[in-house]
Amino acid sequence: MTVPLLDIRNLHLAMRSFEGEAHVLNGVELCVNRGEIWGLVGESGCGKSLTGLSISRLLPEPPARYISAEITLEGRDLRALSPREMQALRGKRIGMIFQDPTTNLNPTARIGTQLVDVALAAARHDPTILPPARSRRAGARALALDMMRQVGIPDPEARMMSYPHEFSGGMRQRVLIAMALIGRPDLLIADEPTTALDVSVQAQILTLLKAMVAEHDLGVILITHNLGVVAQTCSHVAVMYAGNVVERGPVRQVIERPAHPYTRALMAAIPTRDTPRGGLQGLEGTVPDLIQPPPGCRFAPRCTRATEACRAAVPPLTSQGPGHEVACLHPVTEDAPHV
Amino acid sequence: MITFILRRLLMLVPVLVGLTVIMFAIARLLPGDPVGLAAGPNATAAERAALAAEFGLDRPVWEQYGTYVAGLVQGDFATSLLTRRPVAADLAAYLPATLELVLAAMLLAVGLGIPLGLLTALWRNRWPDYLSQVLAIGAISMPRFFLGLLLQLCFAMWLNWLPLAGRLPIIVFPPDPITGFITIDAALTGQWDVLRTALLHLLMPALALSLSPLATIMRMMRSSTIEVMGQDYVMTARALGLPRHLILTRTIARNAVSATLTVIGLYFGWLLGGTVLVETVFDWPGLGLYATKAILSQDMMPVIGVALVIGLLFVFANLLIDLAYGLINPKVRYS
Repeated sequence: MTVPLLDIRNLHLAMRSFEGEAHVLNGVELCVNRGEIWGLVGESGCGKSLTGLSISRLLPEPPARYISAEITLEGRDLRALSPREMQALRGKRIGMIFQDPTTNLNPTARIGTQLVDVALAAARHDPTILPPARSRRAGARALALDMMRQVGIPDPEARMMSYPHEFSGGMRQRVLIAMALIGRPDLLIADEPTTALDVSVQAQILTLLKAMVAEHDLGVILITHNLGVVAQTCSHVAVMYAGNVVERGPVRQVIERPAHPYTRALMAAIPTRDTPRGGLQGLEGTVPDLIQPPPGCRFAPRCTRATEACRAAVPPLTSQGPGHEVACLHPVTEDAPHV
Repeated sequence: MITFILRRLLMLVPVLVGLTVIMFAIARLLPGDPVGLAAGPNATAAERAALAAEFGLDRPVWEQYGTYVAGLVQGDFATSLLTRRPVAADLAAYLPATLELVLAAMLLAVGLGIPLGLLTALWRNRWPDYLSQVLAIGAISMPRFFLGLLLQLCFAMWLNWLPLAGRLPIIVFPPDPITGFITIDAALTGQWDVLRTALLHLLMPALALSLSPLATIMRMMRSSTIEVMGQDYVMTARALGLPRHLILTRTIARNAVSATLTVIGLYFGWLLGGTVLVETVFDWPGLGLYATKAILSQDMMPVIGVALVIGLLFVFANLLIDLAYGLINPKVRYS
């Protein structure tokens, strides 16, 4: 088998806080190949974003502390790189898109300048990304214009002179996508790229993202808490709960036959047309205390199927079908009641 | 943009009306006998009455005020009771020295305060940061005249590095006034030794005047830099692999300066008022020294004139800062 694009093993991360050290990631395992769009789902605080930030080493240490982590990008150990080498990967091999397009662009610089700066930074490591031009700056400008066109910004030449506040939310998100892709990354980490947008713009952005992935043969991690977005966009999905990947696999398999009780509860929480008024399905209990987590499966306190064995040790990911793995001792085997 | 400037200039009218009213009231409320001081100890009652009549001081206050304002709109700032020189001419003669001092102090405060604020923010919670914070509190708390005296004692009396006071030694001829700033005029006419002497004279009063705004600007810049460093777009810039120096200058510094700019505008006015004490300590022939001498002899017309000029400059300075704000922060462009 070929080397995967991104391989995360045993990612344990602790964050120092006033009350003590919180074990926010507890052995995350994730493997992404080119052409795959992985949806990373889970409720707020389950560690989705921290996983994304850990890959490109953007968390300040302290307060963050890695207890153990093996993160490789095409076989290259990212944890072993010097800050300078890591810097050289950001924006070039790893592109990132963040959640809120209103706060992620520099408010005092023109859109064109911001794109050109990223293009120039990327070109320092790989000059071939720039189209032939009189100067590097002219090449970077041409690339920025091309990128703006690709992400569907109308009249890019005029829009280059605009400031972020003169753009709509959807247009700003397109700019962020253009900035993330301008350095031709192999891996794109999109942290809730559509959460701040309305539904129709969200659909446009997701379609654009899919088109970009197909065109550039990227591997993508799409962090979201919206299972609808996952079903629409992703090829694979990893479900996280309290710092663990509890289930992962091809999106059809996981949605049609969720094996982990937590995944099942998440799916049941989605209201459908037939859901009666007031009939929203919640999940009893709350997320465990991450400063002193329970020793076994972190979902056990909320789980109806939990036994003594569940509380004793963290269950490992085990196969549940082709490519479908679940970290549960008592996985559900029936099909989901509705899809 | 033009309407914005015009609107702001229109604000000058209430400022000037307010200033003249308040200054006139204070001049009247002050106990003392300006006519007696001007006429001298041996003047007869008739001579004193004649002097009062000549300057209209025997008239009711509101009539005096009316006469003054009527002169003001024609550019006449009335006449000094003591020197009998027109105040307007005095103001024109003393203003460049004050402006030179204030601008030099501003240059020091902004030129050092902004980079220092940026650096201490990057070094935050390490010893250079703590040290600079302690020094800054000291600089803000120290009265300017006292600081001026300490500087004189240290650099002029003990070390003998800098001249004690004044703008130029008596034996040096100042260059022909072009801008009225001796340093700039000397540079323009190529008199480099005069420029050097003038700069040495300027250094200590400018330092005494600038230390407190320097410290304030540094602290403002530090806190706004720390705030900006926590913004999402800085994280994005790092995630996109922008080089460090570019993140620092284009992303962090530019956004942090726009928050600091307001303080700089306020300080310009504060410095204009602050020159009164510093100019007196350093015998700097500017508006402050002029006003001090006038106050001591209860000669109120020059005092009112100085207050008006400083008020005017204050409004202009704030207008300039607002325009600069628009240049740095595109969200506040004026319509």
